[in-house]
Amino acid sequence: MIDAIDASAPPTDEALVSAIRHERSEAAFAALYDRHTPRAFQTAWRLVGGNPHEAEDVVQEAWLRAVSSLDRWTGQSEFGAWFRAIAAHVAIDAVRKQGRLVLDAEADLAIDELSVDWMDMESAILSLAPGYRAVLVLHDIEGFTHEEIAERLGITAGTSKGQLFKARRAVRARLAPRIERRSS
Amino acid sequence: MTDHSFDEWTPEERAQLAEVGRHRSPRSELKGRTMRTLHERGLLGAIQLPRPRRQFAFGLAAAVVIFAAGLLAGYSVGLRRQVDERSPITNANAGPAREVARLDSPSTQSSATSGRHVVWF
Repeated sequence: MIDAIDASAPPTDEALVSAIRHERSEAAFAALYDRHTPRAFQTAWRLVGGNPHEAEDVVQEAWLRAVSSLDRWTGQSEFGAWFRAIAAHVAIDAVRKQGRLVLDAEADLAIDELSVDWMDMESAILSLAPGYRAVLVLHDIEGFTHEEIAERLGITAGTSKGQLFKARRAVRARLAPRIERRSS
Repeated sequence: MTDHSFDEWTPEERAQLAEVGRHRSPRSELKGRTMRTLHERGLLGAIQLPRPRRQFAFGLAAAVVIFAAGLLAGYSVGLRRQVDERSPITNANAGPAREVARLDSPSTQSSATSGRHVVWF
């Protein structure tokens, strides 16, 4: 039983998933939740643009999808990566439903429109248009390939590469005043 | 990783990227909320027998019907017997009359052991 597992020997993800699938074990789910929610929340938080409530909704929906399709997780990949991919998918869906997922250069904020002198990396990324932000976060932080990003966003891999290039330049432009200030 | 290698992040930028959102965490209520939703959708919690209340109600109703049917049948049979025993018409119509008489004749009266039974049909 999962409830009786020794704390010094934490159960594997495989054991927890099996307990949830066959016994609907709450203890197993609680353990799996504690283990994988923090990183999935961070992924969601980055993709939705830093809105914590929206990120929580994404994580909850991701768990619902994950638990209802646990039989699709074969154990060949890491459970955390599988779950984060679901969370990323849900987050992109959420942004898309709000009509914010625009992969267009025109949609990005021009640097001179920003009311601050400089930005740190987090603010710079969050200020990107959702389409750019999605590509940059998925590729440079979450480690998705361009092919995976293209599949999730409904674009080509070439478009994903182009968007990433522009997103990086946009972030650099936001960081530049800070870099110049440091050097001076 | 990308065709635009001239636009790669510096090591310092990479470190900053890795820290984006790292300190963010969901509220503790999210766990309970998620588990409740999983419960409501039947994805978590004890596996229950299908609709136990309906099964119990159905069994109880069936037992009551069977008991009532038995009661009625027993009452009906008992009532019929009672009527049969009390009604002479019914007795008369119950087939050939049978009467058993024991006749004691003077000739047989002396014999203690012998007797004659005459049965009339």
